[in-house]
This record gives sequence, structure tokens and C-alpha cells, in this order.
Amino acid sequence: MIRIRNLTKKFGELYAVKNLNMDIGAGEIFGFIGPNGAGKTTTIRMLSTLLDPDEGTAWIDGYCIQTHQEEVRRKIGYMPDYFGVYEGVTVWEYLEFFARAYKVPAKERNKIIDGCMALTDFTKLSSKLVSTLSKGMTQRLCLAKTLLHDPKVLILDEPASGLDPRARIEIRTLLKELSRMGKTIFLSSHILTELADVVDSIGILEKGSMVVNGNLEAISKAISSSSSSFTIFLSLFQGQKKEQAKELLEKFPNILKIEIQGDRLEIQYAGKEEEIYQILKHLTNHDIPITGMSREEKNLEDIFMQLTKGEVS
Amino acid sequence: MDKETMNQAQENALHPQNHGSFLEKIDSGLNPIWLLELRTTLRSGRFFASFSFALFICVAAIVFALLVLASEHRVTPDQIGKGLFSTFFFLELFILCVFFPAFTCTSIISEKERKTFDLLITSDMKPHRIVFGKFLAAYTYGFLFIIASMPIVMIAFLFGGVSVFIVAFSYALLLALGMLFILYSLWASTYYKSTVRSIIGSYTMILTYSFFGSFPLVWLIMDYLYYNNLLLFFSKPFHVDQVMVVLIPVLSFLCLCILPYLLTTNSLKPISKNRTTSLKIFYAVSILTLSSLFCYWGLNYLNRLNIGQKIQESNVMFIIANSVISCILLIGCVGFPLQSTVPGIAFEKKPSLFPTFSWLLAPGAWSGAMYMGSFSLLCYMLILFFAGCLGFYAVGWAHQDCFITLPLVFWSFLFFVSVSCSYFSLHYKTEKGKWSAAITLVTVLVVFIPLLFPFSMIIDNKFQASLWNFSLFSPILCAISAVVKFEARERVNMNLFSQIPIHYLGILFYLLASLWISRKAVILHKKEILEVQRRKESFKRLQEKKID
Repeated sequence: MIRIRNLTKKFGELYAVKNLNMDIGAGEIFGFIGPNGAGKTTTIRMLSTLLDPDEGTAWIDGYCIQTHQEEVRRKIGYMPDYFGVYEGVTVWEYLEFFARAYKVPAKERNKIIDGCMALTDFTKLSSKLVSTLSKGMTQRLCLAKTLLHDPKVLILDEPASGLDPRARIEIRTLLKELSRMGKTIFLSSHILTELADVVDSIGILEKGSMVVNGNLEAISKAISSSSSSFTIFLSLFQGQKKEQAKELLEKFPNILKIEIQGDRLEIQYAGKEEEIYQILKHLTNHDIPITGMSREEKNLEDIFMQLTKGEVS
Repeated sequence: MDKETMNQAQENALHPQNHGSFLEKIDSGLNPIWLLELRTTLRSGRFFASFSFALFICVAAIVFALLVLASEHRVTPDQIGKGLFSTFFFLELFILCVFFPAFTCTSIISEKERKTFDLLITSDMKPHRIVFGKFLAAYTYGFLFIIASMPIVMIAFLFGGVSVFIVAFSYALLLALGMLFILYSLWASTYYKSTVRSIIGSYTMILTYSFFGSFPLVWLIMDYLYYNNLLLFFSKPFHVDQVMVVLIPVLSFLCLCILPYLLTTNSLKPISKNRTTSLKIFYAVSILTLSSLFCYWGLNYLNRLNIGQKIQESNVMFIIANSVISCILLIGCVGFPLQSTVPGIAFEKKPSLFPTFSWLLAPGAWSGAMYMGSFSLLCYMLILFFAGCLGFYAVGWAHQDCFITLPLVFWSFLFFVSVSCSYFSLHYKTEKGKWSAAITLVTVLVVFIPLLFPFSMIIDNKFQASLWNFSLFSPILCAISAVVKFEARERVNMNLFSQIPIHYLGILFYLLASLWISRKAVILHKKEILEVQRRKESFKRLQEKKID
């Protein structure tokens, strides 16, 4: 649905985005992550035809963002990171304005507006003035506006920024619903825990270049397998015999570091994955009351921290 | 909420549509920006306050003027009426300068500052629709301001001395001037980067213009009011043909309006499309027009030294009028095809149809030729109407051939130019199309425009019947006409084949030439499409190899 090839944007001598390449399939939710100044918004503005790339290009549903800008605009629903609203108009009038702007046929217009309001829970607020809405409501209203012309692709720049926890959950639920409706969603966010629950695939951008791009699980596994050691947590019954367990494991091969954390042990293991059971065997042979064992999973934040250096372009 | 629920919600729409198709069409045709601006502004207290204030000023000034005039000795009712009307006209000019820029001077910059501009631009609205919506909204408020003063000016009728014509004429002038002020303020709102600068820039521009530009208007109205001669101001200094008196201000006004409109629309376009082609052509043609004019004047002066021919001001004015109209026409017939080059959507969908009917899709030229053809006809009718209203008839203008044949000659010529421009823009397409505009313009000026020359004709030995004859616009023909005796151009049937209806040949020639060029353009475009497909396939193969 979205294909990006060698997308580059320079501001003076500074590369805001450099040789960006990626493909996003239809119906996918793509999380676009990166530190401040990494080039996320620049990329999104190029995809939304608001900025012209200096080199390379992108296609949305087969239309080039440079040569077929009008067609691209019909295919996308764009929600910027910061946006304002028109004062003095009601929610219904605001949506009607954009429906007219997107040339929604007069016959269908009212039904579509009402449908979008129902989807974003605005039905009861249709006669409320837009200027009196809260930040969360305004975000939802903008999302409703992006749906009016039934776009195939939604490009959302930080849709959950500045929202309270309830509004974030509402937006997240809405995004999942939209994905179920077959929309491709290109989403940028700083709140990684929020993204982790929603996205199918991610792209991490740093200094204008793509650091990693692909399925979230695959990336997590690849990072885990590429590292030389991993962390294991051992839970002991009421923390009994933890000192003894520590002493036993210090003599065990391939164990780099052991720390006691309350009732459990944190073990840095550099051996083979298939030999972990030997640790358990060794401890149970010495009557250590083990109640559980877990391996540290890489979440989105860990991946982000591991792959980025916090540099800006 | 899932998709089914949304559909259910759509079914239970609160506003079912019962409009007929005609109403739907009207509804669809409404400009959304216009509607939104009316909703937001007319609901605000600011509009109501300023509207009331303007009316209050009008009433107060008229009452004051009435008291002052009535207190003078030996004053006739006629003079009181004229005095009241003069006060009203000055006052309306003042309201125009103060209130009209306020409607638009922040309209685009405020969208940017309010962060709604990106939402607007990424919607399915083209820049010209946005600009037109903003203009229309501002003009609607302005129209309300001006029309609301009508009952006040009617007081002058009670005393006499004021005709319905002068009231209608002054209202037309005010509305035209208002249009100009709104367009320039709109441009200021895109040019400046902050609201404050935009307000200052806009008012400086409008007040400067009003200071210098309002004198002729006031003079015009006063001439009519006190000397009953509307054309005294324009006709006295120049002694030109009376038709030109109407033609030149009307065309100058149109030129003045087109420039800010083009500037504003261009600034809203995305950078890749913001080539400002029309503007470059506008400037280029204006410069060339002036240089051609001076070239003609200079050469004619030298010629006069040799042959003893006098410079006639009327001829100079005729050249200016010709050049101004040519300038507007060239913007369309060169600019349109250059901006939307060869074959459009219809060609992309079914290219197989076009070897046979290639001329139907005269690449990008239809828009240029149709637009400009309509514009030229409108100008033609406008001039006839104005001239007729004022009781002036140029010899030959009402001639049957002028009415039917000449617009056809002219239109076919425009069509031919547009098609050729499209072809050139495709043929000389460089990396960013920099040279195509220049090459096309030079070709039009040097090659095409002289082509109209043989098919023009003179009627009744007085008026050159091809109304927008480009002959004097071309630098080459300027040089030729400077060498050839000036009188020779005013002979009846001055063309290459004086015994046959040359203009019909002209129509045929231009249409056949258009057909031939458009066919060439379509073939060229097909080649390009094939080339692009070939490149795509080779790129795909390369990618596949890499993956393997």
C-alpha cells in the first residue's frame, strides 16, 4: 500500500531524511518511531504531499507522491501532530466543511458525516461548538475528519500526544477498529508502550536514516538471538536459600553475573539456550525451592533503547 | 464500534436527503470555504459591530452634509442633491479602504497560524478553489456593506440633480474597486509570514493605491455630476478613439485583478507544482509588450524622419490595448498547456482510442483555448455593450463578418497556439521544464503570431477587424511595420489574397495545423509511456536478481 524508495530531504546542508526505504502492506498498522528530530514528521509531511522530496519518491496505493499529488490526497487521511480548529462552527458543521472539501456527494454527505460521528462517539455532541472541545475530543474530531472520504491509508502524526490515559485508550481502541475495517495506518508516536499494543510492524528512524524496519516480533527475536548473553529470572519460595543458590551458581559455567532481587535471582547467562535446563537441574539437586523461571523479553522500549543512540539529524 | 455499526449509523442518518437533483447540483457547487467563512464571520459580534459602525458613519456624514448644504445661501435643491451624492461617494471610498482589506488581509496567514492550513491543503481542494472561496466570502461581506448604504444615498434623490445612471455607475465602480482591494489583501495574506505584517502590508498597499488611484475615479464622477460628461477625464488628455476610452480602463482593471489572483494561487501550490509558469509568462509578456511598444515607437519615429509620417496617439493607444489583451490571452493559451502537459486522464485510461481521434484530446490545449476563447468573447461583448451604452459605435464592429467569422478565426488561432505549446512543452521537456516555457514563448512570439497576420482584414478603411490582432505584438512584425509604410496597413482587404474570403482559409489552416500537431504530441507521449514501462520492467528485473 505504501512504498518508499530512497526518500531524501535536505534542509540546507542538513539531511532531515536520508535514503529511506520501506514497504507497508494493506491493512497493516505501522509504527514509526524515533527520537525528537529524527525526521519522522518530515517523512510524514512528504507522504502527505506537503513537502517535496529532494531525491527518491514514494507511492501510496500505486500513486506517486510527486506526480499524482491529487490522487494521493484522495487516498490518504492526514492528521498532523499539531492542528487547530475553526472557531464558531459546530462539530457537525466542521465535518460538513471537510466533507464538501473532499467532494463527498451531496446525497451521501449527511449519512457519512453521521457515520463518522457515530464511529468516533460524537453523535451526542454534534451541535457543540468545536472551540469548546477538550484536547482529546479535538483529536478524535480530527480523526473523524480524516475518515470522511473513506481513505485507504491513514497517516497519523502523534495522535495520542498530550492526551490523558482514558483518551489514549479510546484512540487506541479506535485505531484497532479502523485496522479491522481494512485501513492501512501509518502512525508515529513517542509513547512506545502505547504503540506496542497496536502496531503490526515498526520502523525506527534515527538521524534521518532507518535503523530497523519490519515485524515487531521478528525484530525482537533477531535482537535477542544476535546478543551474546541474556537474562534469566529465578523465583524462590519466600526467598529461601537464595544465598546458597547464588553460591552454587557462581561456580556454574557460562554465568556472567548473579544478583539477588528480593525473592528472586537475576542471572546473566552466556551459554547456549538449550542448556538452560542444566541450571535448574543443578539447583534442584541441591534442594533449592524454585517456584518459577522466566526469560527477559525485549519490549519496544528495550528495542528502541538498544538500537538508537539518541542522536538527532 | 465495528463497520456494521457504522453502516447502521449511516442508515439512521439524522439528516435524510430529500433534495432533487437540481438542488443537489447547486449544493455540490457551493464553495466550502465560502460557506465556512460566512458561518464563522456572520456569527461573530465583530462583523455586526463593524457593519453597524459603517452604516452609522454613512448616516452621520449625510446628515451633517445636509445641514451644512442647507445652511448655505442661494443654494438650489439640485446642488444639495449633488453635494450629498459627492459626500456619499467619498465616504464609500473611505469605507472601502478601511473595511475591505480587513476582510481578507489575514485570511491565509491566519490559517497557517491557527494550524488549519495543512488540513486544508491536504483535502481535495485545489489552490484556486481555496483562493476563490476566500475571495467570494470577503466579497460577500463587502457587497453587504456597499448595498446596505443604498437607502442612505437615496436621500440625494429627494433633492434632484442625481440620475439613476450615475448612482448605478458609481456602485459599479465601488464594487470593482472593492474586488481589486480584496484580491490584493488576499495576496498580502499569503506573502507575509505573520498576521501583523500582513495587516500592515495590506493597508499600506491599499491606502497608497487609493491615494493615487482614487483621484481619477473621483474626477470621473465629478465630471459627470457637474459637467454631464463621463468621459471628459479620459478623452481630454489623449484625444483617442472613444471606444478605446472604455477599452483601456476595463482591460487594465482585468490585468490588475489577474496578477494578485495568480500570485495568491501560486503561493498555495506545493513546491513541485509551484513553477509560477503563468506568472513568469505574465511578466515576460508584459516586458516584451513594453519593449515591443517602444521598439515600434522608436522605429516609427525613425521612419517618420525618412518618410515624413506622423505619430498618431490613437495608434499608440491601439497598440497598448492590443498588447494588454494579447498579454492576457497568452497567459491562458501558453500557461495552461504548459502547466498541464500532454494527454490527460482520458488518454491514460484508453490510449488505444487516440491514434484515430487524437485531436479530440488536443493535449492540454482544450482548457487553454476554451478558457481564452470564452474570455476573448466576453471581452468582445463587454466592449460592444459599453460602447453601445455610451452611444459609440466603431465602424465595422457591428458588421456581420466581425460578429461571426472573426471570433472563429481568432478562436481557431488560439487553439492552434495552445496545441503547439503543449507539443513544445512535451518535446523540450527538461529536468524541471525550465526551458519549455521560454522556447514556447519565443516560438509563439516569433513564429506563430505572424501567422495570424495574413488572415486579418480591414473593414471600411477605418477599423482593423481582427479585434485582437497580434501582428503589432510580435517584435518581427513591429520591425516590418516600421519599414513598410503605415498607410499601407489601412487599405481595404489588406491580405495576401485580396479577392477570396481569406478568413475562412485561416480557420481551416489553423484547425488542420492543430490536428497535425496534436497527433504528433500524442505519438510522442506514447513513446514516453513505453520508455517509462521499459525502465520499470528493467528495474523490477534488477530487484528480483538482487533478492535471488
